[in-house]
Amino acid sequence: MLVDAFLGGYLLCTLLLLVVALSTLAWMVDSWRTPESLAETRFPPPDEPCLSFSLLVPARDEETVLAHTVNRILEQDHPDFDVVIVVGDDDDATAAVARALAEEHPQVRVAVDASPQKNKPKALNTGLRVCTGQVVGVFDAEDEVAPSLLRHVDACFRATDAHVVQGGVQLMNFQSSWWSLRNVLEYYFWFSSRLHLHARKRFIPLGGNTVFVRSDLLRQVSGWDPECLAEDCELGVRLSSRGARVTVAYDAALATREETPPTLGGLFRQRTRWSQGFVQVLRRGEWRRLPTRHQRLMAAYLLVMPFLQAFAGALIPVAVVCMFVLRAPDPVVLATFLPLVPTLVTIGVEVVGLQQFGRDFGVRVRVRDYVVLVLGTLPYQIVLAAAAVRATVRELRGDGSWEKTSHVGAHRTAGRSSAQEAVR
Amino acid sequence: MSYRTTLPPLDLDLDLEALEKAVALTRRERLVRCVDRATVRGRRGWRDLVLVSVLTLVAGLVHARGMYRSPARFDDEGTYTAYAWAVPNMHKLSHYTYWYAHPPLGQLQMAAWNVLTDAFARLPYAVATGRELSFVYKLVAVILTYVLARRLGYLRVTASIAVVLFSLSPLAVYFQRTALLDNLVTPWLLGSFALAASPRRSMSAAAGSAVCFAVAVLTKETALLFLPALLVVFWQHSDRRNRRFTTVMLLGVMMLIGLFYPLYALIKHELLTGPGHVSLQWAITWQLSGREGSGSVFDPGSTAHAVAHSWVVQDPISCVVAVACVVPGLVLRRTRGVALALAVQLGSLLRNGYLPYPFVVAMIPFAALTVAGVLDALLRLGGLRPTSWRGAVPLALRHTAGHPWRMTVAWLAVASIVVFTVLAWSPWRRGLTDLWTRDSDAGKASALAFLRSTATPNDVLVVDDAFWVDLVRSGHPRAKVIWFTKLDVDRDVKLPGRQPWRDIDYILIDQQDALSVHLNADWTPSKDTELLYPTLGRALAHSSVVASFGTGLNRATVFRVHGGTARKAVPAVSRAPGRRP
Repeated sequence: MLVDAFLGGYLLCTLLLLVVALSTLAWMVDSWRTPESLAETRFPPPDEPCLSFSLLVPARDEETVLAHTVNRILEQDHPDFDVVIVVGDDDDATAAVARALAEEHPQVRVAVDASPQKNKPKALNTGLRVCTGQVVGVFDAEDEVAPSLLRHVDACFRATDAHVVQGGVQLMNFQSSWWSLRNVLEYYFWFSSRLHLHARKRFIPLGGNTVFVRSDLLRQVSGWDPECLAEDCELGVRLSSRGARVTVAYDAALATREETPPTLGGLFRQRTRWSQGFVQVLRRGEWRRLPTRHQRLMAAYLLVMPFLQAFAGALIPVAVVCMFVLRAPDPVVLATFLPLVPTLVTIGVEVVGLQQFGRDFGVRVRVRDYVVLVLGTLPYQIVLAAAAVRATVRELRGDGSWEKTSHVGAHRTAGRSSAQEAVR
Repeated sequence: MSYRTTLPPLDLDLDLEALEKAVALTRRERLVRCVDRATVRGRRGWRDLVLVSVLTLVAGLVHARGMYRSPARFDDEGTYTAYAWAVPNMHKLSHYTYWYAHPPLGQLQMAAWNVLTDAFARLPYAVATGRELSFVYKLVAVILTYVLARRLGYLRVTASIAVVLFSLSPLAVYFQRTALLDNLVTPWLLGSFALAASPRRSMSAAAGSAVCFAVAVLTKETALLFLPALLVVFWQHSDRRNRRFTTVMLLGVMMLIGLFYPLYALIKHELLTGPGHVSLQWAITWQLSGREGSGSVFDPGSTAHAVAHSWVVQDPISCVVAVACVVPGLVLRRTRGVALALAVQLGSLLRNGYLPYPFVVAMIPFAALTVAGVLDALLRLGGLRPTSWRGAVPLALRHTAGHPWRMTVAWLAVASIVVFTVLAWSPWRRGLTDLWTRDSDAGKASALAFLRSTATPNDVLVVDDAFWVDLVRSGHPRAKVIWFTKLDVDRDVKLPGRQPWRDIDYILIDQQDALSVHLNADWTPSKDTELLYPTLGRALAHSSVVASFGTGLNRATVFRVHGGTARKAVPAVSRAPGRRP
């Protein structure tokens, strides 16, 4: 009797795992579902720019990378944009760099965030107050922005009647460590495939940068949520629930290049923040206002995804034990292996994805990298699962402090060295 | 390219009701779009729809008329029927030890059909349940043959010819009626090929193709021979832009689902050979090399020759044409995949290994597609591409006028159709009439009825596999109805007595079984019988014929075993046993 109940529960868990694994796989390859669908994910061809842009660059302890980033942004071949650097009133070093940039370039302005507890959404709201462009864009202080991005975004807004345009973001330093490789690939699939699906379904968690919003709309919804740890996701959910049209466009050449967190601990803290941010968005319940049941289901599913992943991770040892210990009927035992099918296919797709990533970005992928990719699957899942658990604990304790990711500029060497390596 | 020159006024309504209305509107729009698309598709494909409906109807009628009476039921059909019976009734994959003779999906599909439709209670005899499922699968296979042909780029007329060859040849109908795993494999294989040739070239088509192929292989492992052909078709129809991803999807899904078979064996601790249990390893080794080969197809004295001959006599002209089309089929791009499938099958015919009687079943659809494909190429080369029947003749004349070689090819194509029709007409008519009207199974049905009325539930019956389920269903205890082939082989079948043959009361076997166990012409056991089947041989030696029904290889005979002196054993007939034609 007890065994039957346990078996039933275990089968239910297996079914859940199967659903998670199948949807992960299906969403991951969405952009490649037909040859034509891949073409639809690209930016429309640019025409003469017509719109004005204000680009927000929140910066905190970023004095080493900020100048380079802003100088790159200023290389945009778009006629009408300005840059608003937002610095904290307690961060003199960064503020000094920002002021120097503002003096040198008339397009650059500095906004000072004076809120007692600093975080990114508050900085963005501070910056929003001084924005003058028709469209507000967000970049992080370490971003490597493609010079013709704004022209493309400009055209994209007008070609698709979008309220929001989300561009691509790509981590580059895939050879730094085993987990950076997985992290890089995660971004690749997220921005080149998965976000396009969410945009089509009209429910989308936006990305943290290279995101462009009509400023009138942004002001109408009072900007970003100042207390949320995943302000980007929250804005996306809020705008989706109000029926905003989001266009996601991706071209490898136009993707904003970034770096992974410098240490595994940094990745762990970043993931904790995201997961906790997802819980906050879930609890806030804005997603319940989404118009269709399908969208609400998708939203709830997406927001609990970190926890489903954690759960899946926890179930792996259980499954291994059951395989050998449990005397279950053969069909039941076979059924528990079913989730492995989409999971292993996913790994196969990741291998192909890494190859495709190498082609798209002109970097050389070594055999070693493929091996690391496959071997890293389980440890990486465990890190993510642990972060999800930590996020839950923090949220239950009411600890909503912002753990910032630091930057060292690893993507810049990675981005540059690829060409040199090719020559060698 | 002209976009707006500025942003439109902000049209977002933060009012929820308005939003809901907007969503409802898009829902209606979506429905309208859906209907539109269906209409467009219907308008474009109505000819195909009409053609395939008519073809399916005709194929169904030709197949169904007399399908329980001809051919006579035989042991292999009974084997799978009994396996399928064991699934719901004994919760096992076989009523004897499941020894990995074939993967288990075949009997599971049959069992599902029997349970869902209550087939055993409805139909005249047990094997008929499998035949009914073969009929249903045949209808699906007919549709899929047409779809595959069209997806390979055949004209409507040649796609229809492929369907006709596949479904109406007397050779095809004869074998497609039987309750064999091969007939369950066909639609899965065709489905796999049709999805691999999907014009959308989508990830889901690749995954679907992989699932179908895996099911085909898990129904009968011989489907694995079609993998190279499937990959050729898939590659030809894939697109550079997403080929990496669709390929990994196809191979990954196919392999992982296929691995569930060894996984099952692993869970049962029957993957590797060990003492005291069956194993997948042993079964595979036995199938690849353990069986006695059937000899060369070209050696008139061999079993392989007898088997192949039994196929060819039913439709000689189609067989010749199919073999002749293999090489041109391989050369032409359009037919390369299906021709390769046929070539691999023909190649394995020549390998002189064990040649199963129904081996031809898997070849038929691909032979039909190859022949029709070569004809398709001829028609195109000759400029005959009738877009509508009305315009066909003037169009053809216009195209071929002033092109002597084109004219020649066109006439060649038309002439080959005419010649084929003339040559095939009489053997097809004879074969089909025979299949429709002759009751080949009557003898076996009478023998079964006789045994049912004569034997009591206490009697131990040794019977041909084809009667097992019928006897068990009519009240004989499972332990007392025994397959004649298992008597001296399976540990599960153990008669208690010191002289086990004395426990047997009745034996029911047909003429084919008599050949298999090397009985003499006068039904007495030969030396070989006593050597290979000691219990059965002894029992037969101490028995007398009480009833015999039917003629030729379908003749079924009931023996009553009694004590007393044995009938005399004489040396075995040296010729290896053939299969029923």
